[in-house]
Amino acid sequence: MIDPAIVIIVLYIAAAFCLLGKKIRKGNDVVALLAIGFALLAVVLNYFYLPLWISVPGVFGFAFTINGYTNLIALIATFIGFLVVVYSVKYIEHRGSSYSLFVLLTIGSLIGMAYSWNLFWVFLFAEVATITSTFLIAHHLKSPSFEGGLKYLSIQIFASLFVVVGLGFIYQEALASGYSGIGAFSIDFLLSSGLLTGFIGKFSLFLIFLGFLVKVPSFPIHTWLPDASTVAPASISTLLHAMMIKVAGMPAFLILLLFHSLFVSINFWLVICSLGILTMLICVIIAFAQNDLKRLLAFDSVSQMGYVILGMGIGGLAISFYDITTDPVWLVVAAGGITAGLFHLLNHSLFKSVLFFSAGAIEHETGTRDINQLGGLLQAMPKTGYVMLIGSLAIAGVPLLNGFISKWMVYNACISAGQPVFALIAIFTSALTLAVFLRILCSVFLGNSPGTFEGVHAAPRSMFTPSLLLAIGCILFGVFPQIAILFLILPATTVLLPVAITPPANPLFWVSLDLFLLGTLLIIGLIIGYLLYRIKWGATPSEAEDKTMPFTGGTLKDPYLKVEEARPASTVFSYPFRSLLNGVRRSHTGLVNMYILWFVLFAVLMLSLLIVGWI
Amino acid sequence: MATLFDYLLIITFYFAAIGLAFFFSWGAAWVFRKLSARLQARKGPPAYQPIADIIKLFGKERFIPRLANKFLYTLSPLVALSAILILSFMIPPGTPFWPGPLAFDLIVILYFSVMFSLAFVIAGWASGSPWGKIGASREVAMILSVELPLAIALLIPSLALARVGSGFSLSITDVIAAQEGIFIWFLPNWFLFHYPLASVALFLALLTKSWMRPFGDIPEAEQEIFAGPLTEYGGPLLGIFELARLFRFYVFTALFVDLYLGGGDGLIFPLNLLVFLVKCLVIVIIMTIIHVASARYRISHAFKWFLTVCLAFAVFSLIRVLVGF
Amino acid sequence: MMGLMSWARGKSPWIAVLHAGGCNNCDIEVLDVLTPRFDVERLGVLWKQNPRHADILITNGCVSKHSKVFIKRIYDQMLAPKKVVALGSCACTGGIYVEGEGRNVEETHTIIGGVDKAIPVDVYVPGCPPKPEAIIQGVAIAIEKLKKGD
Repeated sequence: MIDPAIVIIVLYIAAAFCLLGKKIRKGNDVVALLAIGFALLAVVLNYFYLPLWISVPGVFGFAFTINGYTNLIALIATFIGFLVVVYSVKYIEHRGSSYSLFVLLTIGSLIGMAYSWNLFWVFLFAEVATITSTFLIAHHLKSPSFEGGLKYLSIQIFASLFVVVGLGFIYQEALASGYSGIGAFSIDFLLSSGLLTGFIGKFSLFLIFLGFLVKVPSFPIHTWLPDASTVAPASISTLLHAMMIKVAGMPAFLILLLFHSLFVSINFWLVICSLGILTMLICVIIAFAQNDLKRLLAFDSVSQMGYVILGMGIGGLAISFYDITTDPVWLVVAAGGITAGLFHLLNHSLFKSVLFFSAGAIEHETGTRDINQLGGLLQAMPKTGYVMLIGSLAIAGVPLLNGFISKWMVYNACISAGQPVFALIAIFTSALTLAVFLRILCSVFLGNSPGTFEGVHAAPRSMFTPSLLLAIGCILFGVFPQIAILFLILPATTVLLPVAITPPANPLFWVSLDLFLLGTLLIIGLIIGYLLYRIKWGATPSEAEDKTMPFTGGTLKDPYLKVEEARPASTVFSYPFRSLLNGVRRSHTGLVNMYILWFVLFAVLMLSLLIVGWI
Repeated sequence: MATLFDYLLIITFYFAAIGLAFFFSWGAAWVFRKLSARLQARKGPPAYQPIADIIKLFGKERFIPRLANKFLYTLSPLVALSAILILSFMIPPGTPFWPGPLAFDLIVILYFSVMFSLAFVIAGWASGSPWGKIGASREVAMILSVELPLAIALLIPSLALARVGSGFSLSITDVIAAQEGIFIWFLPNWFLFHYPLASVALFLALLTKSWMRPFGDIPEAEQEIFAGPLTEYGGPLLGIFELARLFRFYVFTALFVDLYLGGGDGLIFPLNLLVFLVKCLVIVIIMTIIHVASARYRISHAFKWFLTVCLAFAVFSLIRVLVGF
Repeated sequence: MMGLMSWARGKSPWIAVLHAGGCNNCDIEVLDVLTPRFDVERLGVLWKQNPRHADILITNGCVSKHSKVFIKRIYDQMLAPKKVVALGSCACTGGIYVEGEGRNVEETHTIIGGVDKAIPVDVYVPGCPPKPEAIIQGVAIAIEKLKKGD
């Protein structure tokens, strides 16, 4: 086991080295790869709880803990970070030394945040990651990049105010009880000392929750993510979507679930679940109307985080029911909900990285992100196309891919907790997600090339391999989800539960499905079809030059060939939601003041509900 | 984990289920065409017609269009067939004759039915035909419009189990078991009588899923866009698609019968299968009559119907389930 | 196997109707065979306006220079085995639109003659327009040829 402090120090030192090695670009890459490789090795070793052999006890007063939860989050952060660094080698051209520097600083801070078990350090690392990633978002040094970066920074800093105020309240309480120093923010200390009781404790934790909820992001305060990730380079969008929002957002639910004794109200958890529902439904409908590939993916990302919020909310709801009834059945429901949420978190970082890596490869090769201009890329970039196909089907929840399992667990958790309405809306969202991704696939990869992409060729290997690796992960976790659940998710779930539970006989909880058998049957079906297709039934093919031309009623000229360039118009799909979309379009003004106003209104609403005592 | 023997047993049952579904669908497809013909005062085709069509398609030449993506063009009919075969295994014929490691779970059934439609969308786009693309877009629009009422109406019997008192379960087996007995007077304890509006919503959704008018043939509208997603298909691949579409007569009717018409009514062996098949046939006949009697609607009409009327029906029943009256 | 296939081909001929040019009367007459009085669906005939799906192409009308390319292309796009029925006098010979007798017609400045000038024809059904019974008989002969394969 390697002390996380060492990992972070190594990453920071490597970042500093990148600043020195300004002249040698290759040197930057090597240093970054070595450092992140070491970090990955260390995090994986930590996973097996090997005896401690490298440690710097308390050098900087970092308060790191290694348990199931921190391991999971750190593994996601480091693994995706590693792939991002690999991807950047070919993707980012014309960079100064600053790119590697800030990437390493961001990843290092996020790993530190993942391992920290102290609210102060969580906050500090979150701030470092926010500031460094702002430079990454503005990497292109153009006007829209600055705009996106500044929007990101201002909303994040504004959210941090809430965290600061919450931490201040906690420190005041600690001082009043005679404690001082950073140790007063330690989660273990706060849990064991009973410092946070009553309204002040609840209020301060809720402020911290609101601060971190911005980073998840949840519905009324989601606007920074699409703005930032559209202008950022694709590697940085991946970093934002697959690591940042997970590592920096999960503390919100960590504190809610760990300090559950303060949040016992059922209404409170219903509000959290409703936030999840609103997030997933509204953002996926907004995603319909997008024509920018990365912006579409970003809105869909927010929508997918709704599933995580919903899973966590169901977990908390079930714990509240357990507090009331002390029926151990509710504990299982809680474990199921939290497991589902965390599993979807993991899965989302897998398939969303695939999608962003592929989107980056497309932009790199064709120079555009506009869905309506792209087309027929499956001929030019077949590998990227098929990998993106797997990622899209996984995110849409097609059976035997990982998104299906985690979504299914979320539905089951909802229904078991007696909230089938949430499950039904989540199912509907899943269908909408499918339609969104079919639009991407059909427009970008299938269909005909508009003819402007003659010179497009496959992406470089270092840009393709990371997404291939993740796509294989999608299939692996889809067929054998037990592996992920048993080794990665359940240890994290047990940390978040108030009472230790005996591991359920079925690691997938209600999912009594033998996915391997299902896969076997699916493949048997495919084989039956293939045999029917291949059997020599006896018809000699006719020879004609026009035989393979598309059937257009005979003509190969204009009006019908125009139809060939057809692509699924977003208007067909978004027709039923047109009034909602118009409202959304009018409200998304792009003004950061407006977005902060939304956040303030939302916070005021939530806080007044809290003060009134309804939640 | 199941042993190898269990696996072999399940695979045997899988083939048995496919056989049952195939022969029923054959008969039902003939009833569909014959009844359509009789309703139009025609003679109609003989009983072997559905299968002769498919065999003939396998006897034509194999080809791949120039603009098609070869891999997806070939794969999508196989996926459609595979998905519908799994569906016909996972929807039990009235009584669960085979053990359920697949649990006959309703959400899995919902997802596989989407996968079945998905194969047509991919087929339409991969074939490189303008008509295929238009048809595929329409198919996506139909998935969107149908999905919400379908999901709600599918899950209502399962949610209502708690009312009946047999605990929460998403398994069709439990839904069938809960429908035994008498409701009031002589009416059986079917969910049709408990939640008639939800059953109407489900019926319309399944009607659409099985390509029947008034909404179902919007994606393939042959007077407008030839055969929609299947325009560029021909020969064996079209044969596989037609074979997969043949199974719709079993899958979607059996789903309705299991969920809302009591399945096999808990009778002894030969009777329950018989009762189940008769019910399925009645549903096929009703679907045929609606199909023949109605014209095709526009897509916007389909949206309007499913997202207002059907959704209202389903949500009303859902509220009844949740509140309990 | 071949016996089964031959049987299936005979029992399930799907048709596509192609109007090449001329007065359109035969085109309308084809619709009659689908009506209750004649009902060709009892022979397994399905009306598929898509050459990819069809086994028998029923062409009517004379071939103009303009439509020759289209007819050729649509014929090419049908999958083997396939048969062609030329329906009506115009499709058989060019009819009143060309000069000369029998097969030895002269092209005019727009019309080149019967359908067999563009694509190989298997069955000729004369008449202006042919009676529905004649159309059905023509299709039946095409079915017999279809059974033998290609």
